[in-house]
Amino acid sequence: MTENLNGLIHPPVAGPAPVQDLASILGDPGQHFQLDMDQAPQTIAAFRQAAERMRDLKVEAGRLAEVTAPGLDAVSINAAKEIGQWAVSEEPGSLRWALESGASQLEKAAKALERSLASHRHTDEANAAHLGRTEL
Amino acid sequence: MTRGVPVVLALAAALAGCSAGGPRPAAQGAAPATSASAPTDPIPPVRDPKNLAGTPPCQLLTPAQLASNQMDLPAQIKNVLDAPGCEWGNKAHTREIRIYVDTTNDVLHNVYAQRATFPEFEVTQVAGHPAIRTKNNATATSCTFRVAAAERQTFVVDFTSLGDGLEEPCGPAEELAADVMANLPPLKG
Repeated sequence: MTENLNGLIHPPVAGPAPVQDLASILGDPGQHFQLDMDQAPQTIAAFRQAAERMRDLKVEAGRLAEVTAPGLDAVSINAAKEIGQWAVSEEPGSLRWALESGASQLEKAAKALERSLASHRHTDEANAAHLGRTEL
Repeated sequence: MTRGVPVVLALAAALAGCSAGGPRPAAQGAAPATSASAPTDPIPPVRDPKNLAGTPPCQLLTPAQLASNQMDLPAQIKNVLDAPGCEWGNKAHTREIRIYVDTTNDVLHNVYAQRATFPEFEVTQVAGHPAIRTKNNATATSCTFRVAAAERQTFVVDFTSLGDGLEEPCGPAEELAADVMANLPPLKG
């Protein structure tokens, strides 16, 4: 369980794909975790809502590059330039990069859960059909 | 050897001066330079201004245009800081479109000034209007077009692909920007 939580707690890092992120944990058949199937749709919705909020923040950060400096003095102009550069940078480790990566991880996790849920339902239906036949 | 350096520098300066001051043969097909000291504006002027101020962001795309882009969820008003905006999605959760409007700032020039910060940056045109295309770096799933409808009237279209297949986002983003432009009335006065 602690290992699984690591994926949620630690932000993604630059460079090659991290060994343990949320989507890889959910998609890894070697990992074991408990999931209440009744709660799965809410969990998927919560992941997607969080991803959307991260995308909102990314767009808001990018907006800072579009506004004009509030004054014509050198300090205002330089401040607007510096804030703009900081806001729109997508270098690994930057704000927008982190938000983008986080949103992507959450979307992948939601999709992995969706697939697990569909697979579980399919198995349940197949078992029910099989039991129905044997009872007859 | 040390005495030779100033001589070489002086000679280089003299040659550079001759080169800068003397007439240069224009490249075939290139427009003649108007002035050596006045740099050309990287953002071309808007020739056919459209009025962006009168249309709420959620009405910048028609229902037919939204349907053809697989948007089947209701529009959500979503401002981006001070800029009024709108967001659309679909039930399949494969695409997300955001549009917001700026009628105050010179967005294209401001963004151009930050061009070195974007992983992908291109000055382009949408329906004959000056535009800037940028694309994200981390996952390459979203593409943004900032289009000048008129002077200090800019709309921003952001397209995000949420599907497993990582749909290329800049094609749909450009089409949507052209759709918005086609829906805008001309700017009078």
